[in-house]
Amino acid sequence: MTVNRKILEVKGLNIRFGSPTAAPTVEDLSFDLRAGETLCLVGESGSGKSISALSLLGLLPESAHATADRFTFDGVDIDPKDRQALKKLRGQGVAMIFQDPMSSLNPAFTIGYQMVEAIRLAPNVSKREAVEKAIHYLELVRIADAGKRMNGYPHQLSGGMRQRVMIAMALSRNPKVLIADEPTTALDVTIQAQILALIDDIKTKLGTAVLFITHDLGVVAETADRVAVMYAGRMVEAGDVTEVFDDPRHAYTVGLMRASPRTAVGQRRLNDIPGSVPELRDRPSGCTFSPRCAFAIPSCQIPGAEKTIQDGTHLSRCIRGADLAKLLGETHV
Amino acid sequence: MSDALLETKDLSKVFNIGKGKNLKAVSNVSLKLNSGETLAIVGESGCGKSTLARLLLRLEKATTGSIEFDGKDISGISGAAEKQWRRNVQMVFQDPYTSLNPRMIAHDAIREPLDNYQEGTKQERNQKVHDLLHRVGLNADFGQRYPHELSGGQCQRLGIARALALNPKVLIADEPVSALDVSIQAQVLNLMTDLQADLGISIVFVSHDLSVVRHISDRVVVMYLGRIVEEGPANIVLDSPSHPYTKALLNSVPVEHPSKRSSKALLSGEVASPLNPPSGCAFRTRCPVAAPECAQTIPKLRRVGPKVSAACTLLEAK
Amino acid sequence: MADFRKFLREFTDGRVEKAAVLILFAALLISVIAPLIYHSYSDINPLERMQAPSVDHLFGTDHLGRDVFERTMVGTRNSLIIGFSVAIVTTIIGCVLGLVSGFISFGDKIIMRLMDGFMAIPNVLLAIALVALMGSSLLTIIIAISVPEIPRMARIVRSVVVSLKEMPFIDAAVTMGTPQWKILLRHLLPNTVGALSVQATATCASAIMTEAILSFLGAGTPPNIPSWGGIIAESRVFFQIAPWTIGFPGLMLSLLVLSVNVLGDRLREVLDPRVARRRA
Repeated sequence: MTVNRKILEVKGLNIRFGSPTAAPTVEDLSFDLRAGETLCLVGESGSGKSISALSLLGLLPESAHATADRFTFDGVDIDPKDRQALKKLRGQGVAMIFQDPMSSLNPAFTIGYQMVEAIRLAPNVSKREAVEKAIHYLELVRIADAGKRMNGYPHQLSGGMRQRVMIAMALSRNPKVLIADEPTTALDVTIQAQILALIDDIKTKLGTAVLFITHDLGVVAETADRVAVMYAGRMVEAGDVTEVFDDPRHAYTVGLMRASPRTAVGQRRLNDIPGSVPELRDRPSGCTFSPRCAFAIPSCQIPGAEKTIQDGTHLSRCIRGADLAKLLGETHV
Repeated sequence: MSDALLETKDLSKVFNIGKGKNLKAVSNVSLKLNSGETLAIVGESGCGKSTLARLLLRLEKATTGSIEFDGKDISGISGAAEKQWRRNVQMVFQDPYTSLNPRMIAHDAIREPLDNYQEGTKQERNQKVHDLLHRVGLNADFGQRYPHELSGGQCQRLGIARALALNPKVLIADEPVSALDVSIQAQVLNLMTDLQADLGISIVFVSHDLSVVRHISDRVVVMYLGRIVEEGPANIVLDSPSHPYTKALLNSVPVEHPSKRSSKALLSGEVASPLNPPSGCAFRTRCPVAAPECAQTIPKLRRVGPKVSAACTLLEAK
Repeated sequence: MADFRKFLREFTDGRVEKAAVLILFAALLISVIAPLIYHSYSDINPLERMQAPSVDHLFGTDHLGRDVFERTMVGTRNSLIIGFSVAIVTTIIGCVLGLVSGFISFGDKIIMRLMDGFMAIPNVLLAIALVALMGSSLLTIIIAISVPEIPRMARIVRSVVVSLKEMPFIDAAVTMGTPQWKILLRHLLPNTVGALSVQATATCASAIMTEAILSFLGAGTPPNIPSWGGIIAESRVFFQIAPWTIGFPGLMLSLLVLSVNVLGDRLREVLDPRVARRRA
């Protein structure tokens, strides 16, 4: 794969709720996103994956405080606290689609009206151009009879169709980055496959960078170029998708993979992860996963155990990362 | 087989949705649940799997057809007989929160079924509640908590404990893990597997997630637009599916490793409206191998391989 | 007992709530004590008509020379009786009707059409008609104000029940053999408490106001039973020369209505386990 231009670069992103000195809900998050690639942020609820994405768009509630060592979009520095700058970014550079498309479509207006309005937010677009553009994008997301569909209302569409409309709307602003927050979670598998293929197609055709947020490792395996695993507010592992799947370096990633029924063929019981994600105030020192970890050793709890270890493009915050493959081999016996 | 615990014969459910329109949610479903087995009902939204579960629980009245439990027709029972029957079949719900009364603490929620049937003395009932909490892996002090003070996984354990309180023979689980995180999902699935092994309970497992189904079930019923399209042992149906729909469904499941990606033949279009189903085979509008004769008659479920039945005109009967 | 203390602590958490509880408590105290110590509240004294507030007459006197303070104090009881009685009557009857019509679809059609009928009649008009029919007394006033309030309560309870009925936990109760009456009492009723407490306190406040309106229209309590509304109504023509005759009972009325509304909101929060535990 050729290395494309960096569109988004985030270094040391912290998000706190309440006061600027509160314990960070998202802590020291760093990633970059290149044109034409899909980065999957994967994690369970409470991992901070959605909050991180919302912060990039300045869509966090007023009580949130985001800070970053470095945050650039297309080479330009942006202050994550500057909501005006983020709003501009939202208008021009970054678009987002959500899990529930119905909540982001206004039920009282036709699809066409909403699309045309969105397109005409850009200066100097005539109504006719906007209509043509709307139809163009609806066709791009493979909506049959786009012209006719324009006169339909959101409730007349199925879940899959609505998600296509949302994608068309997002694309109509020519974004460089498309953030997709669990866009297929509410959909049936056959429709999920269609939407995943569509997003993949758009990425290749338009060179859009896709930040794909999901809880489903299957979706990651299906669609990601790179993956970042999040747990309790921290990115615990990141790397090329094959790298991470072939040789996971964080015990949590291993736990997630082994907990999936897909990988437990022939076993009566699944390899579950005991316990649950710690609350913000109960996060342990050192590695936040250590209390649930099958491979934890005493030094995992010592502050500093959560430091990022880098091996080429593969990052992980696990002091046992390098030994995991061997340890796994032993437990299988 | 003679050891069918729960059996439906030509079960149908039609909802009258006003303006003279009828919605056929479940059509002519005949299936058997053998004792001690896990039967999965699989399909996409709108395929009628949840309605079927509600029919089995008698939360809905069947329009036509019958349901037999232990060889006895229970379609028409009411009053005391219905109440006695109810204890045999219990349910685990999809949403762990809304299936619990928000104003009832966990202890009372589990005790409710025991109170309803006046099981033993009050003390014995309280003891049983403790045992059940322990059985599903919850501390006794969880008993004093309200649902919103529990996590999703804990609520689902609570829901399972409540369903087990009456020692049912059948557990009907409607998407019991689809609202849970992967690590918690594994815990709850393990709990269900353990319970089945220990208690010999039969489970009807309604799900859209094929990998979960493959893991937990002995037999699978695949539904499309209210009808069974394929039925058979889980490993055969899910490893070498016969019906084109089952094939497509399996093909849509995300791969487990990036190296297995392939450009798949995707199913085009979406499920037809149950208000206006296509003539003949309901799947023919999306079917990659549909032929003209598919529009003629509704295919019947018939044997197409060892232990496997499918409803497809193009498959040869065996 | 410990539970009650905890309840009280949560209930009075916050300055506004504390003040509201104090006002309500004071009003209750006044309504019990005032009739015992003041007996001359109806005595007419033409020599002391419309005197401004002084040490002798804290709230001044009205156009008949009656002591406004005494009348207001004694009137507290009647206003409170009317407010609380109407709230209780409306809540009980409205709740039963709402539960039944929300839960049993057969009863629904009959009850709701009946309620629609009641709601179509302007409530003040209905109250005046009832007072004219049965004569003016405390009981008549209570009935007259309750009748038009009942449909409102019934409708609110019904709408809550209808949406609760679709919740999975009701299905769960059915599958575990819970009898219908128990579903009503253990699963539906407790979950309507939030809506009930808000509506009940609003009704209480509005009943006190409605009584005042009725007094204005001459259909309120008879002059020998002073109520705040009645006092204000009698003195309204003298407002410009003797504002105290209206000012003081009006102030009491506003304070009480405000307190009751504040406490209604708090009651809903305290009774909701989801909110209560979060605050704790």
